[in-house]
Amino acid sequence: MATMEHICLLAKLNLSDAEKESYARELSDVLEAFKVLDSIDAKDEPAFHPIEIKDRLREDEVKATKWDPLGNAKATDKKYFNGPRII
Amino acid sequence: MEASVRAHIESVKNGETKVDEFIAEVMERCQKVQSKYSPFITIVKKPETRGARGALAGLPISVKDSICTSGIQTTAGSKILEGYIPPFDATCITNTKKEGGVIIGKTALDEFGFGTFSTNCAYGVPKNPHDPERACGGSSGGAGCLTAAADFPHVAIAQSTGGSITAPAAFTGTVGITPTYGRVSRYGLIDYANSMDKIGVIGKEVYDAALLLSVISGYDPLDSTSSEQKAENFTSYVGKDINGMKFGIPKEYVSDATDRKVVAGFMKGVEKLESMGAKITETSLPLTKYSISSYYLIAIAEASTNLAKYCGLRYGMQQKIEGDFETYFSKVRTAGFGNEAKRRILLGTYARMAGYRDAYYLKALRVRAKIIKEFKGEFRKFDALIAPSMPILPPKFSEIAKLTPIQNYNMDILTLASNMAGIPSLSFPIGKADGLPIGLQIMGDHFSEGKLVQIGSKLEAK
Repeated sequence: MATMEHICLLAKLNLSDAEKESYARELSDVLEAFKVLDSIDAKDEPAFHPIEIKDRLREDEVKATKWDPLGNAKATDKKYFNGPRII
Repeated sequence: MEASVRAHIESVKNGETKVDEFIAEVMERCQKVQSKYSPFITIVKKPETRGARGALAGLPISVKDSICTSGIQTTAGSKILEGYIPPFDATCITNTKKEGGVIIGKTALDEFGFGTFSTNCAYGVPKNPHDPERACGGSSGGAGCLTAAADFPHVAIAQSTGGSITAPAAFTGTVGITPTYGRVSRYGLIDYANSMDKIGVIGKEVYDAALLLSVISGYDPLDSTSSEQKAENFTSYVGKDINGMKFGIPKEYVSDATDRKVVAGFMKGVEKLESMGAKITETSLPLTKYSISSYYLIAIAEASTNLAKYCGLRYGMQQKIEGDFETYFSKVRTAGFGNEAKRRILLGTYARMAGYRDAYYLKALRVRAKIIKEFKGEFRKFDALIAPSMPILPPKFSEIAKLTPIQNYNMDILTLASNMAGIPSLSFPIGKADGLPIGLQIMGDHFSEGKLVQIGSKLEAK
């Protein structure tokens, strides 16, 4: 449960104790099934993508936005999003 | 009304069909389909029909709701994105509109694509037109449902991460093409797992799916993982001879774990291909047994990272801002995500935590490298691999409700390896058992979609 508390904190989810217990049981079943990977010797380079991907970089140029970035926000103030207190 | 896509486009081009009148009639029929089977999250009130010229002239196109459509709500099937109106089109939508396709609505899916049956839906569960007590398959269930139920010409834009086109195509008796990773731009797709997400198509016939795939394929500078492979007209492969082609059947895909009725239906397709001169032998993909674990580890790690951005501030679900950022974000995320999304976020967060990343995520990526090599070895021997699309017939909702998460994940056993390897596949409705559809999937090497269309179209021939 201590690990579950920590995971919920990292994941930004509020769960009740009953929910935490239920998810913890399911998660341990899934992680148990994942142990099949312990039986395979894999020293290959990790395949981060299924096909070869080239790095494509572009110039870091300032361009005007074609749409209103605040258009879907409910809480705004002039040209800014309103958000919760950080400090 | 003409139900064939090919005939409809011809009829628009020669002026026999007036697009505005036709679309008005289609929208009425969409309402009827919706009331019976619920394939849509959003039905467009007044579809844009201006400029209905080109390869898709006046053709109704539905779009999975994880793909951004300018001015039309896009939710990815999640309450956390309720009310989000994208101010831009995904590249596949831009290309569809450019060729005269008419966007008629957004189709239902498991939240963010998290599911095999389209039952983890925040806005209603699509019902299988072959038996409304059964699921359509997921996660592109709305796309398969509408394609099967539509009594008008239509093709669906769908999306797959681990089998989300093949499963609904198999369960609804439609044709689904999952293209090679990078073949279709992901710009404007709401990510599930970036290294595996692929936008593809579902149609009633092979030609229909091939046509729309041709339009949406091609390099896009807006997607850094988009392939520079030249776009092709995949319809040009329809009907081409397959005499002398070599196909392998991976024995792991027709093992006792696959329903015997499904295997029997699949074998009828094998006989048909053999009668056309194809050489078919058994082969083996021994790494299949590792595909569920490695796929889900990569998927949950990437998904939990992608879902970190939903915090109830800039779009989608927003609440009264109270408390500090920790309190507010957690409150919105807890209210907005459904059960399966929460489960995958928790699992993915754990798998990426310090001390576990090497043991889980990196190990899974190394196994993926092995799986890709295994497929590549097979494609040196065979033109394609063929197998049942799904291990079971479309299940009842009451049966799905009894499955544990791991039993649920096990249902993806026939589609995960190919999706992880980023190879293309085509699911074809090969027949029925107990009145329910059975899918045969054809898997090919990277960028061999043309060959898959060729083989699929021969299965379709009378």
